[in-house]
Amino acid sequence: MNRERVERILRRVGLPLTAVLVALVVGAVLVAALGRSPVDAASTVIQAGFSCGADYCNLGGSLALASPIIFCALGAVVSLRTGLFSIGQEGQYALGGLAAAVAGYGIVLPAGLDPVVCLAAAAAVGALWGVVPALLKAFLAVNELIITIVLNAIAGLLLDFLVNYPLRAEASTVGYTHAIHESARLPVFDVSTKFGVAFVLAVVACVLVWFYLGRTTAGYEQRMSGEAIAFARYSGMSSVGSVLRAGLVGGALAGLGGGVQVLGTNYRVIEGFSDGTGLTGLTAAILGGTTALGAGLVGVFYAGITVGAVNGLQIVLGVPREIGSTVLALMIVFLAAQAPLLTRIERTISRRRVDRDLARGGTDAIAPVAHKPGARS
Amino acid sequence: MNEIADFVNSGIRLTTPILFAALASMISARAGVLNLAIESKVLAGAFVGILVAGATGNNLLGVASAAAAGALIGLLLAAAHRLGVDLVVLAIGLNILVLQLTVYLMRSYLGGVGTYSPGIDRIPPVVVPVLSDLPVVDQVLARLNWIVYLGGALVVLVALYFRTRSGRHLLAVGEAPVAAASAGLDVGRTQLVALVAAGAIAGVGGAFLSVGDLGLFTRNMSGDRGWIGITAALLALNRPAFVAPAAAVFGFASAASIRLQQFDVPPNLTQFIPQGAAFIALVVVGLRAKSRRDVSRLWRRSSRIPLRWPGRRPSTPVPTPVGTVHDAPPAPPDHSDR
Repeated sequence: MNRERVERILRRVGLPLTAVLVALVVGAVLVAALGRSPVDAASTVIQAGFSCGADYCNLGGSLALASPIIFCALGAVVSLRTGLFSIGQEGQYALGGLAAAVAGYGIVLPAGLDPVVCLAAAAAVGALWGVVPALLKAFLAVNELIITIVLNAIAGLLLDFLVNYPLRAEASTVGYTHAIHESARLPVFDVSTKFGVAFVLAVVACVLVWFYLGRTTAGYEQRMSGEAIAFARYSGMSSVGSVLRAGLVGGALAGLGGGVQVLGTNYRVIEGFSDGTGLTGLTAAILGGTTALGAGLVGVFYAGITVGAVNGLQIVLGVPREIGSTVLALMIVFLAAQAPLLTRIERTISRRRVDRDLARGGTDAIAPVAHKPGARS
Repeated sequence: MNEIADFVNSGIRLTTPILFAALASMISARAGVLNLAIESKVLAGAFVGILVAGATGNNLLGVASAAAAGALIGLLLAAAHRLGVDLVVLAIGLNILVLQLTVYLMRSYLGGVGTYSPGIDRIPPVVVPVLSDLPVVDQVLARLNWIVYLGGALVVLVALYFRTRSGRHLLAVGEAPVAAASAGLDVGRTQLVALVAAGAIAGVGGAFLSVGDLGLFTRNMSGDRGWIGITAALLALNRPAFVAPAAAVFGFASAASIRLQQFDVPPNLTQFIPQGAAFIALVVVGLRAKSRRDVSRLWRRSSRIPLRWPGRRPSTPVPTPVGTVHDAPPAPPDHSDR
């Protein structure tokens, strides 16, 4: 452990941290411009988002909200790490939720088995919707980013149509499906916030995705297809297979996100179910550095800030709740901006070091090293 | 007859913002930048436009500042692109940022919870000398202000621009930045100009929504029109000749969905048609690109892994000319591991 190594770790942690801090400072300025104390605002958000009292547990609400976000974020992680830049989590989430609602109403099974079947339906539909861009990318070289924009719009329209016409429960101003049977509901630990098994499943999924990407051959192939396609191809890995797997697994995860939202919180699908949870998950995945554990942590953080801004800031301090999402969006912008900066700094430093070594007359400076600079920024 | 004229009129008004967004998307795409921040540009234009128009009472000034707001976001994107920032992530962040920030500012300073209505006069409709006196045509032209006509004029202007010397340079930069740079074109500056122009156009599209058509601002006023504009540009295969018809398909489809509600026809059924058309168009482009690989590069540029087909495109390293922003020079060996 030499000084260079310490410096590098400091740089790679410090720069993103600075980006987050800058976002917080801008948020503080926005709050201060309203004549409120930013410190009060921050403590209110933390209080209302992450505290747990005897009568009402705010943290439970945050964790309940976090579950579908984490699933969508994991879907995004699997896709992005494989180099499938899909932003289709929104559509997969919507249709997965709808599948769970249909299965929950249409199929009657014993309590233990029913949610499992419903979640399987959600995952299957999500995977089907997710493999479409992967197929198009692998065989027709269609840009997956662009096609998923269209697929998201189609999924949202399809959901609103189905909820309003074939699957509509009763005549009302807003269309919604029949409620799922009691047996299909995911158990909750806390009735008031609906914190329950859904979050446990999200945590399990986090660990499974981490294990899959980091510790299995298939996951390794997928990561290599994303990070070093030439290496992956030369070593005989199938990049087409990796992309298809990414579409299936990523879609299934985002579909499960819709499933746990329906089975754990909503118990039915209402018109406008596609409300941006999938996109939130995608941004959580990006903020979490496209790692499974990072995505899980950021998902909880994201949900906590949202709950804290809604329940705390707006009600207690009268600061519009949009400040929460504004600061989160600022974090994404600044984090995106610091990534190339980091690469540049590291490049300059290593160039200087080589120059110095050469000036000193050392020959080891030219020796090849098996390290890829800035591979994961 | 009245019904049809009314339908055409509302179709044109619904098409206009989509047309502006589609033009913005097309210009960016042809300059070689996948610009997903159109949504934020439209929304920023709508917000700034009504703010300035409300403060000064001058609609023209409002539209001009809307264009400036969009151009500013374009400038930001261009600067980020030059630095090598991932534009997709940045665009997603910007879209959320503008959506949330406009609502935050509106609630904080303008006193509106979901709507801000400064009580300005909407931009008056244009009275066309002879046509506005004809019986049916006057209904079609009713409530169409100068921004609508500007949209049509811009389509022609962009089509003509692509045929000029500097327009050809822009297309060259978009199709082969390295080749364009070695021919002496300034890739960075061309893309900057394209992104700023695209931003200004999208901003005017936003101003049409707030200052031009409704005279108020609501939460998420752009309502996915930026994304629809991107889709419309794709449906038009990023060609100026097809942009207006493609945007009209989306605009008229939503006009039809509003009309058909009274006959209890599912409103979103008609909106499937343009989205489905866009999907098919993308797949067809994919099929074509498979036989003509050059085209596909334009589509694939944004995606992280270039899934090359085996046995194609020899990968001889191209020396990076000064001025490109696409291919960063190979990094020197990193010795930090020792």
